Amino acid sequence: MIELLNVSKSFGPSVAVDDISLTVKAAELCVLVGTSGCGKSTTLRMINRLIAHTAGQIRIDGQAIDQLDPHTLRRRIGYAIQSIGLFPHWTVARNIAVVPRLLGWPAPRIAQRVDELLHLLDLPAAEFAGKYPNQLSGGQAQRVGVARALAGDPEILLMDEPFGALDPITRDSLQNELLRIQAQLRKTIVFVTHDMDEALKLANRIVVMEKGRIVQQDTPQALLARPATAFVENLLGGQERGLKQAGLQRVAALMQPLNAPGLRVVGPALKTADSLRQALSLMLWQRCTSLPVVDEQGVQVGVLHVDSLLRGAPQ
Amino acid sequence: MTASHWQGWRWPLLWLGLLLAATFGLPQLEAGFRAIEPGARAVIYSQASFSGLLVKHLLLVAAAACAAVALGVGTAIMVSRPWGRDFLPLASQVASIGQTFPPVAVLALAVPALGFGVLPTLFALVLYGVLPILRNSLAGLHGIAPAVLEAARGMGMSPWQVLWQVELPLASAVIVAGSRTSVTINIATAAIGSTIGASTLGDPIISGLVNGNSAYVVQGALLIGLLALTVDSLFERVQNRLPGPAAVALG
Ligand SMILES: Nc1ncnc2c1ncn2[C@@H]1O[C@H](COP(=O)(O)OP(=O)(O)O)[C@@H](O)[C@H]1O
Ligand SMILES: [Mg+2]
Repeated sequence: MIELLNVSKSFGPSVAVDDISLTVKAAELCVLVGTSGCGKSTTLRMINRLIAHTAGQIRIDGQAIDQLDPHTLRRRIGYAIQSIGLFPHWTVARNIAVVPRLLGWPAPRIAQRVDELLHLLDLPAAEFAGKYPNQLSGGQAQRVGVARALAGDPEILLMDEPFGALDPITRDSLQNELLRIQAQLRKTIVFVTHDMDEALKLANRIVVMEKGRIVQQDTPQALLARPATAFVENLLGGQERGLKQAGLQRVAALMQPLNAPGLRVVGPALKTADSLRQALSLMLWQRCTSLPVVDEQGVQVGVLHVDSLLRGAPQ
Repeated sequence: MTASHWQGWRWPLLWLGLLLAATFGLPQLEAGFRAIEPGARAVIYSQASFSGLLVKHLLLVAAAACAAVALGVGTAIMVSRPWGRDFLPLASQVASIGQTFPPVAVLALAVPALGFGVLPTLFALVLYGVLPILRNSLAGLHGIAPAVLEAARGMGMSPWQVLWQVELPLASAVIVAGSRTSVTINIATAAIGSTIGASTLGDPIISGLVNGNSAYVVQGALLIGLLALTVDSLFERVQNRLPGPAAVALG
């Protein structure tokens, strides 16, 4: 658990973070979102003491961080950044092994851990372990960056716009990976982004920052339903809010299930895991008011009506 | 060992072979040098053995190189730490302006202070040799991507670990390139030490110039040239094994 109590940071006369209080519970994925320069990175970097806070208190599992040795603290906290910063003179395996080596793990345990992480991030060891960073694509490099952040098996992970420099398709797949990994490992994650769609997709809780202050913190659903200020509403995309909300819900929640075993569907169909946003888009495209819903094997399991979409409940 | 491994050693070994052959074989070429200086009493320099002069020359350059590397790299490290950053502009200026100062002038200034012999020569070589090393070390340390240093700190490396494991390895190729320039220049500059009483491969050259015996000049120049080529090709070999600029830039 991470607690920030009335924390501030000023650089000379300018205040970058202004009296914020925030609690991130264990196994929570908390996303800090806001426009550029609002103090998100500064907040994140105060948690691992890359920046010293000028007022307030930061606690990890109840312990004030200024009581801990900064190097020991950082080895306990995973850190991944947008520009990745892989060590160019080391192989992928050696890059991932950085924190375990700093922690003094025995060599066989490090080797095993590196293999485990390459596997977890879908980087076949035979192909990638011996590569150098300049031989990787942007997406592969950030996978290594995330693996490196996870290597010491930290309870806390700090991620500063880790997918911000990737193309939309790679970003989407890495977001899905992160959700999959989080479901499996259940780390306490503080994730920074300026992209509200990314925040809505990933977060258990969204913390909206503006000019060094927290203006609202809530679950994605609650944030969409009740934005506290015009700034938050604007950040949520104004008129597109309806679509963003639909993007958070799955087809499975609103479909009419079939009573009898279904048949294989040919032609346009939705998957149970698709979002209502995708469902709406497909209906618009096909100019129809209902669509079959299929499982992973392409066998029909239900049907989705546009009325259910509008009422927000199955028919 | 692979074929390409041996390929890398081809030039250093070739130049070393020629250097040793010249060091020990020049006295056998008396007939050839006689053609250059038909009138001279002796045509092979014999006040000291070539091998002895080679060793002295090499020791002088090596001692100067060690001191220059320690001084240059050490200064660059200090002015790139948070506590030494105030001196960074000064160090960069010295490194770039100092290069325009001729080595003979350094030598001339050293003599009144340190007298004749090895000491002022060594002093001048260190002073002159430190400049390219300082300049390249500054460039090398400065050229590391900020994200790499941020990651290193964020992972929990101590300042020493960041320096030894990240900064110096990544700057090493540029630092070695600076040392290569420094040593190659100093192999030539050391010969001037013979004018103020240091015993080097410059001895035959000075003696030849003073006595009007160009055979001596050729012998000294030949050995210095071969020594410079040998050492330079060795440096090239070392440089090829360090992380390249491409790797550093793309990190
Ligand atoms: N090291 C620093 N020195 C001075 N000002 C800084 C420093 N780091 C950040 N700032 C300032 O603090 C503010 C917040 O920056 P940052 O936390 O990086 O914003 P964000 O990550 O939300 O884009 C900005 O106005 C920035 O200029
Ligand atoms: Mg930022």
